[in-house]
Amino acid sequence: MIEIKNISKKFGKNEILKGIDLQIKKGEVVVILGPSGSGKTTFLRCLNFLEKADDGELTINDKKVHFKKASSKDILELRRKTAMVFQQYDLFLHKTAVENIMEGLVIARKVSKNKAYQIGLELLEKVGLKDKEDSYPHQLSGGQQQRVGIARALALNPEVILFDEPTSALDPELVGETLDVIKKVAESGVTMVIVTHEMSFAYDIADRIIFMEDGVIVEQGTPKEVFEQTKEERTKQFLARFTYER
Amino acid sequence: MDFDFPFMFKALAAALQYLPTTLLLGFLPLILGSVIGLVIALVRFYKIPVLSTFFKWFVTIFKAIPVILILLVTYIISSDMLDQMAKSWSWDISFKNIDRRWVAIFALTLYATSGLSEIFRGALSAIPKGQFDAAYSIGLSRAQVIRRVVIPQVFPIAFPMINSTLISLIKASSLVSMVSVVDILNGALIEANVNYRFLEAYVAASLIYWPVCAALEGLSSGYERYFSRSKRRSFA
Repeated sequence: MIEIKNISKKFGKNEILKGIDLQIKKGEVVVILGPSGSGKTTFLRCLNFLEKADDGELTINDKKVHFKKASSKDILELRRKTAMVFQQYDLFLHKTAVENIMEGLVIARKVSKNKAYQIGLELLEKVGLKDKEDSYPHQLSGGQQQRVGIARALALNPEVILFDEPTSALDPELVGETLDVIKKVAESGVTMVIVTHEMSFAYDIADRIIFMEDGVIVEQGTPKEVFEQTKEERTKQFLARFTYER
Repeated sequence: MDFDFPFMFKALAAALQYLPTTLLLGFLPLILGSVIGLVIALVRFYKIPVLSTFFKWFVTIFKAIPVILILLVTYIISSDMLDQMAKSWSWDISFKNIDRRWVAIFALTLYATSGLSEIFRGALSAIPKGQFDAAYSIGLSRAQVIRRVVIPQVFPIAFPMINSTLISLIKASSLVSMVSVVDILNGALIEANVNYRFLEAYVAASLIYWPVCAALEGLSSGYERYFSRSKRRSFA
C-alpha cells in the first residue's frame, strides 16, 4: 500500500506539481497519461527521491516520510522499496546485462554474488534475453536494453516499480517486445506506476488511469471510465486523437 | 659550424643513466596528482561547502603559475622551513642532506594536481546523468555510487587527457635542473660543462625525450582507437 499526500514541487517559480494525492493498492497498475510538461515524470522522480519534492508525504507500507524532513537515511530506505525503469534505459554502461541486474542486489541489498547471479539469469530468461548475459549495453538494441532495465528493477523485488515513458525512446518495431514484457510483469502481481504515451497499451494494462495536466490530477478511473465515459472536457480533447484511431 | 657526433653519443649515454629519474619525476606526480585531483574534482562536483570553494581557489591559483615558479618557490620555502623546523624541534636533519628529487616531486605534484582535477571535473560532467539516476534508483548510497559507477566510468573518459598530462610532466621535469636535480637534461649538460659543446648535449637530451613521449602518445592514440570502436560509443 502506497499513500502519497499533497506532493508539490517547484523549479524556481515554475510550479510543476500542485499538491497531488494518490493511493495505490498492492498489485495495482496505475497508468498516468497527460501532455508533455504536465508533471508526470517529475511526479515519478519525486516518488523515488531523484527529485526532492518541496512538500507532502509519502508512505510505503508502514514507512512514512515527510518530503521536507526526509533524512538521507529515510531517503535510502524508501528508495530501496521502489525501483525505476527509465526512458533512456540508463543501464550501467561499464557492466554486462547480468551485472546490471546484480548490482543493486549485491551492493545495496548485500545478497551474495552467487545468489544474485542466479536471480540475474532467471530474470534475463523472464524478459527473453537468456543468451545476452555477457553483452554490454552498447551491444544490445534499445528494446533489449529496456528489457534488461526492467529485469534490473524486478531484481530488487520492490513494493512498486515506476516506469518513466519506458518505450518513448524506442523505434516502433521494438515497442511491442518491451510492452509485452511489462504486461507479463503486471500479470505477476507487481505494483506499478507507468507514465506512457502508448494509449492502447494503457487501456489494456491499467487497473486505473490517471489523467494529469499542469501539476494536478484532472480525472481518474478505470480505463473504461476514462476512455469511454470521459467526464472532463480537457481529457476528451487529449484522448480525441486516440479515440479517432480506435 | 661543426657538430661533434662522438661527443653527442657520449652525452647521450651519460644522460640515459638519468632516464629513471625523469620517469620518476613524471609518473609519481601523475599518480599522486590523479588521486588528489580526483578527490578535488569530486568535492567540487558535489559542491561540498567550504572545501569546494577552497579547492576552486587552489586550482585557479596553481593553474595560472608557470611550473618553473612553483618549482623555485617550493625549493626556497622548503629549504628555509626545513632547516628552521629541524632547529626548533632539534631534529638531526638538514636540507642539504635531503634528496632534492622530493622537492621536485612535490612541486610537480602541485602542478599536476591542479590540471588533473580539472580533467576529472570535465570527465565527471561527461558521465550521462542517467547513470547517477539509475544508481540511486537501485538504492546505492552516494559513496557506493562514486565507487561503483563514477570511478569506473571516469577513468576511460579521462584517460587521453591523463596521458597528455604525463607527457607534459615529463617535459616539465626538464626544469628540475633549476633546483639541482640531475635528470636527463642535466645529465647531458654536465658532460658539456667540460668542453662547452652545449648544442650536442641539447640534441642528445632531445633524442631521449622524443621516443619516450612519442611512445606515450602512441599508447594514447591506440587506446582511443580501441575505445572508440567498443565502449566509447555508448558513453557518447
